[in-house]
Amino acid sequence: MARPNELLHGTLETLILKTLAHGRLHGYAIARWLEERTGDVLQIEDGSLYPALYRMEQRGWIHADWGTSELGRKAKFYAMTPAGRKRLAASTTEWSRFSAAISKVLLTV
Amino acid sequence: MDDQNTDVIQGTLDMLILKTLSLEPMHGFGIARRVEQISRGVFKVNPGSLLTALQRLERAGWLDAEWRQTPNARRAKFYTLTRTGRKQLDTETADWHRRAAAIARLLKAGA
Repeated sequence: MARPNELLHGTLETLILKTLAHGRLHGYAIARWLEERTGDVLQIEDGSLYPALYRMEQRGWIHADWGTSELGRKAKFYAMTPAGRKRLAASTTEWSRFSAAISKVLLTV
Repeated sequence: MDDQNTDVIQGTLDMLILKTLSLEPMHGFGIARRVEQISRGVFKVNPGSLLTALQRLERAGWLDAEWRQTPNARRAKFYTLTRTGRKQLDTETADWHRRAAAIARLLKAGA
């Protein structure tokens, strides 16, 4: 059955890149930033977030290193690489095309 | 990765199937062709995913299926949207617009 909060494939990666365009963040902060910016319309589950971060690191779109969070805990911080910045531009275009196509189907009468 | 982006994934595929059937009853192949046509080829509907989705939607009570003759005299399963299916379509459409708008706003915002 359709899960209401399921994101389109690839969209989460795009949103993460967009978030990291503002600067280096740890995983928890990325999720909260996205939820806050979308007025909680999107819910970012840990089960999707961390695998996505892992995939993106493997692809060279983001770079991770250990740092200390605001609460003084050790956390992995993520930053966008130049390849990630290119990817963000391309996937933003893809998203527009994709969402326009869906809207077109939905508006057909 | 780029290809996957234009693949219709599960939740969205369900919604597009319901939408297509809200126009008229159709068989599986017809649904796939219609979705591809309306989206001008942006979506490719994988036959395996389509069949699984149709089974799932039928089990959920959103579609009725019956065997009929196609225009070229073959037997095919025709799917019709049920009343609860229509309600589901309305819900999913509203959700989609809400999420798409939120994502679009976010992606548009300057870094």
